[in-house]
Amino acid sequence: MFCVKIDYGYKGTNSINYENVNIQFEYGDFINILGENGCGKSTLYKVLMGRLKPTNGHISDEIKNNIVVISDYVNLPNECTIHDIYELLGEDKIQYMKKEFYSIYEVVSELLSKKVSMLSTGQKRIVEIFCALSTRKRILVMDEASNGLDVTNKQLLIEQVNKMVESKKVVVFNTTHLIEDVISFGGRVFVMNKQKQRINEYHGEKSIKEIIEYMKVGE
Amino acid sequence: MKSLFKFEFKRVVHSKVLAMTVVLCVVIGGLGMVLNHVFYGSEGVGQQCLVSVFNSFTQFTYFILGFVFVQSFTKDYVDGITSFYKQLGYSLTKQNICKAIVMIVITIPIIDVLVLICSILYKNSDVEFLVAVIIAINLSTLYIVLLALFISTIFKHTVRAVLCFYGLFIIFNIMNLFMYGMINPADGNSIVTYCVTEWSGRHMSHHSIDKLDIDLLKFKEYICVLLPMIWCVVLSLGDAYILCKNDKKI
Repeated sequence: MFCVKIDYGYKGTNSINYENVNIQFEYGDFINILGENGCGKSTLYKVLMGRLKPTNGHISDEIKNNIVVISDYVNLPNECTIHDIYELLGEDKIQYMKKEFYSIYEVVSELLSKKVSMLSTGQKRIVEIFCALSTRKRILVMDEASNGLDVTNKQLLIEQVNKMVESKKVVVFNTTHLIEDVISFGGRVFVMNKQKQRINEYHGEKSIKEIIEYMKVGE
Repeated sequence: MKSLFKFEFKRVVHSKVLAMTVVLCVVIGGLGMVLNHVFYGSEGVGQQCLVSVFNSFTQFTYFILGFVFVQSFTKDYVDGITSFYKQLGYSLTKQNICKAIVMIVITIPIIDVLVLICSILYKNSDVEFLVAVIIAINLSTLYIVLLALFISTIFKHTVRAVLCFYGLFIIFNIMNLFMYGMINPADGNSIVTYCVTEWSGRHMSHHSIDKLDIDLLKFKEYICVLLPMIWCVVLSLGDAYILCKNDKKI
């Protein structure tokens, strides 16, 4: 069980300040972090990764050193093939993925001869997850990783991520401002409320209407 | 590190940077030959004609290939590939060293072959001169790659880095004029260019070097090799410092 009890924030033109953030999680958890643009979702990850110090409390090394990010700002080189990426990762990492995450390994293995630029956005995300998990880190942060995906690709991503989560070998944090995505992925939901400076876990019914209502009220 | 080097090499091949580099090197070499013909016609011995090719490979490489180098280094920051590598456990220093080595490994042999071809075409028989020219061009190319890496690491943005790279060329050119050509070896006003030109038998006027009361030709081999080498060492240290500093940040 991992436990995060912190205050965090920063001052500036778009200052944020969250107090009494309390998130407990374990392998097999899928945690959705829901909040409007600029509310500090990415900042929370920076804090979890140790790039930004919390204003109060601390993040354990077990969390800090175990995080990998899937996001628009972490990309595969377009000009290489998946086979090239296999060679870059090395046999050890490939065998590890085959053993621990066979389902995702199977999908990526079918793309070997393809160039990254020829992959769909969903397939790219799967390869990115493959590379990220091959590092043996098991806290996967998907920072708005499902944004811009069409229905087919989103389905592919949801399917693969859910399989990983079911295996109880990883924890997935999913940041999004799309409530539909939260419902599709399932899992726990935390709602960020910038005005009230709170991050609360939502336990209600997983419907768009109910979640919007909760976000408006703030708790 | 070996797998990263191999991966970077493949990226260069797949992204057509290799093909582009070959074409640009041929264009630069050709430009030297054309300019030699425009300025000197069919006059001049092999060495003198080779000086035009030398000038072209030092100055135009800075301008033309320099852009390719800066763009290659900054593209990884802009596209988020630096973060991808970092997540796989490759530090910024390792990433950029591999990239710089790949650029040097693909550029220098192409330039050397082209200089050799020019030397044969111009019927140059002075091997010592040819070797000095090749070493000076290689070191100047290395200097350009290292400078491109330094600026790219500071700016991490293609347009800003390219503007700074070109801006520095103008500043260095002026500094070379007044500081005995000691600043930028990849420049027409450099002391290296001065020595190579004088060595070939042509005279070159230089604002500050002409005032020196030293027979530079006595030290021509040392000047052609040592000055660019010193700059390469200085830039390597600068690169190492800036990369290590950025490694801690990112």
